[in-house]
Amino acid sequence: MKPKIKIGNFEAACLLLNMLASKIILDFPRTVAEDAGSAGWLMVFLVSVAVFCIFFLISRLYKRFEGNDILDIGERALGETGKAIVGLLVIVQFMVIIPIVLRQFSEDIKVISLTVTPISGIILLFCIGMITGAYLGIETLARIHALAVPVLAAAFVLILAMSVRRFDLSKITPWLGLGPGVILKKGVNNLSIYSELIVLFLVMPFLHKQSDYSGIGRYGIVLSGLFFVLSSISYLLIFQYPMATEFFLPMYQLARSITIGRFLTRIEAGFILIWASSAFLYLSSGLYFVTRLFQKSFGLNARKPLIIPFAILIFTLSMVPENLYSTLQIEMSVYRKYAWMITLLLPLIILIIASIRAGGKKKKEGMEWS
Amino acid sequence: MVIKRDIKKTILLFIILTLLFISGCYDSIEVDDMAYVVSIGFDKGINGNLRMTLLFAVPVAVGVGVEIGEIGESTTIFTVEAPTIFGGMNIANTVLSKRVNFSHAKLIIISSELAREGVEKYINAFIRFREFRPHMYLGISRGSAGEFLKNTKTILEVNPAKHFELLFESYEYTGLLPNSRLEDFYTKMECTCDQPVAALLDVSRLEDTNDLQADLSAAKTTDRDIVMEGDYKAGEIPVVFDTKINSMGMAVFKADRMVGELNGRETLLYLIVTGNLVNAVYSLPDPEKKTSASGIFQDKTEKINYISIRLSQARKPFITVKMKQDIPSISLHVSLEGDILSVDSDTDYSTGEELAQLEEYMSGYLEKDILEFMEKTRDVFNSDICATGKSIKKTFLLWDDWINFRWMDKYEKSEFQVYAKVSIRRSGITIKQIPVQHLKGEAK
Repeated sequence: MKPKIKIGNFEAACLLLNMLASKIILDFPRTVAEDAGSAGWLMVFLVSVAVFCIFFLISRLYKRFEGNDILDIGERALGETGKAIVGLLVIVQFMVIIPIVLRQFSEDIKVISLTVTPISGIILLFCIGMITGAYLGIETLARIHALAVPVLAAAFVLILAMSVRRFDLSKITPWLGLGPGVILKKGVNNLSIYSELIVLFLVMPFLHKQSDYSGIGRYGIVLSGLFFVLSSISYLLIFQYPMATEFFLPMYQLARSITIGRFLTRIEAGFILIWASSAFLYLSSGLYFVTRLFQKSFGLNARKPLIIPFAILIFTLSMVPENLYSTLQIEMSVYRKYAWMITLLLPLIILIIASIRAGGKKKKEGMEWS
Repeated sequence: MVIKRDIKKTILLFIILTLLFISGCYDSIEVDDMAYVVSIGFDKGINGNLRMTLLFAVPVAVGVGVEIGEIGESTTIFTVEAPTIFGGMNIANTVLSKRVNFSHAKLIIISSELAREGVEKYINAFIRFREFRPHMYLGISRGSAGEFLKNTKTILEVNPAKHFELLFESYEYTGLLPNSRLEDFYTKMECTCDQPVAALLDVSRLEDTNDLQADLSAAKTTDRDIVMEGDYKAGEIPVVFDTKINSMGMAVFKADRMVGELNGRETLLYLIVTGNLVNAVYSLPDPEKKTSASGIFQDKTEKINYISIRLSQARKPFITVKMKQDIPSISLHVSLEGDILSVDSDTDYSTGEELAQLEEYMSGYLEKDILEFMEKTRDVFNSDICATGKSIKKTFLLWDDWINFRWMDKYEKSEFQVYAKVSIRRSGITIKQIPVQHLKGEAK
């Protein structure tokens, strides 16, 4: 049975964009500087081009399976077991990144705003938002994304525009940073910055016009790629390598440095609200997708009863890292190493298998008819 | 069913409204529970301690304004000795009835005695702690930082924070101070092709006009044998004023250590070379060298005529570095424009050949000044404060190659070629100058 819930192309693109680009608010510009030095922006550009090409390939293969999500493809490729395996892999991916992001956003808020509030209290507040969002479902979430993402994008562009006068081209030199070898090696791990692209393969059945998935994905990648490159290049044009690797929150640091005359000197206060909105949307959508994946993978009737247990699990996992640095380490050394395989390789492999099997079946049917 | 739905909606609305109003209750601090630091001074303390002088704003005095005679009441001073900055803050918190807050602090002053030992640990602490704003001003006091703050009287501006802001923003129309912000200092300190500078501060020793003679005699003279208005450093300026604090010139650093001082005139040249000049009044002797009026500050037998020009940047300076064997050859092209403010002599420099003559003279004059200044950064300080290394950094592809090139070591062997171009654009609200003696004869 096809779901009754429908989301428009713009809403889906906004959902995808926020899922992909919300890491800019966190540590993204700093991590790319750590990886490739002054050429961090170049590495991000190359990674974006590579992901665009891989997605082009995936979308060509997907054409045959329009309207099916990644679990359905898994089922077509490898049967019920394949569906469960694919579901579990994607759940694992989400269950690694969501607690990390939850902890990071909470730590951000603690460092810059609620300095004496216990971290568990802040995480709990985020969890309430997540639970509410997940209860409301994908349709509501996608619509809120459509409202919030243009504002978030405008705020981001505003920060960069107000930082332009402090740009210094010499700060992104030497042009190849830590070298082409390092860019390529670290670039592979950085394919994982697009790990949330998996969301597109999950919302496929909800799209109004299912044939538009390719366009949504392309726009999502191009726009998020643009934001990734702009954020990393702007950050490096102001804070040169290796100084760029020192700041915990690069975009916050950029906003902190902006002054307009003698009166507007603390504009970052306004951005905290916007950033928290982005975090709420990301985390709520994440919790929604985890519960949906679990429900579909194991053929459960209802999704909503899963929300509270998964929220408790995410809360607990987010409290596991001993400190902020450990959280960042998990993301850098574990998540980024493997997430791209689930997002880009897994769909490619199961699509190839499903296509071969579908082709074989068609051939067989054709032979029977003749 | 409808009633049940209404109850649900009411509860939800109640929760949302409650969330709105109780947010921030847990860690809230009332505005008047805090003591706001306007400026902090750091001196060397006893037994390796740090002596911290905090200048607090007294909000009541600042907020409601003051009566005549109560001007000094908008601030209060607190001095503490502690091994660390935050140790000092902790002591202050136990002594004061309010919690110390740095989020409105405008100025950090470090004594030159401390600065010569290295400021990295202090700067790192400021950058790490969120209450210190990146655009705070940073000054180096030639004497004690505490004394500087004690002598601060906010006479023309009752708000102490605005007083410091205006003081440090004056570089935009005097050119005698650098733009000395905390974040810029940190960025330059951590840069591989630039060195930091900070504004130079001191307390004047002049009590009345009788002391001016001694100050003028002690002022640095150039090989031109005249002392111009910017040829002073803070504390040496020939001014008599109710507030004794002075700011002129800049402290030069090599990495995090202060290595020297530059006077106001040299600071102006620094602003020109780094492309940070906004506006500045620049006086120079008249090329005609006629004798009719008395010099500005001199009491010499030969009277010198001066020309005052308001200088601004026409184009960003263009710097190129070429390596000749292992010696950097640095070419500096500066392009400025000026407005004539005053001419002491009878020569009319507003138009024609005289205008071209003045432009050429001024370009040559500046070229010589800039060359001397650049040589000083090389020979005396061995510190690339003008970031000439940026130009050669752009020719490198790999970070390791750039680091192994060791630009900072190569700077001391640099050779300079300076090309200055000054275009006079305006001559005030007059277009010509008719000398009185042309109208009334030599005897006037």
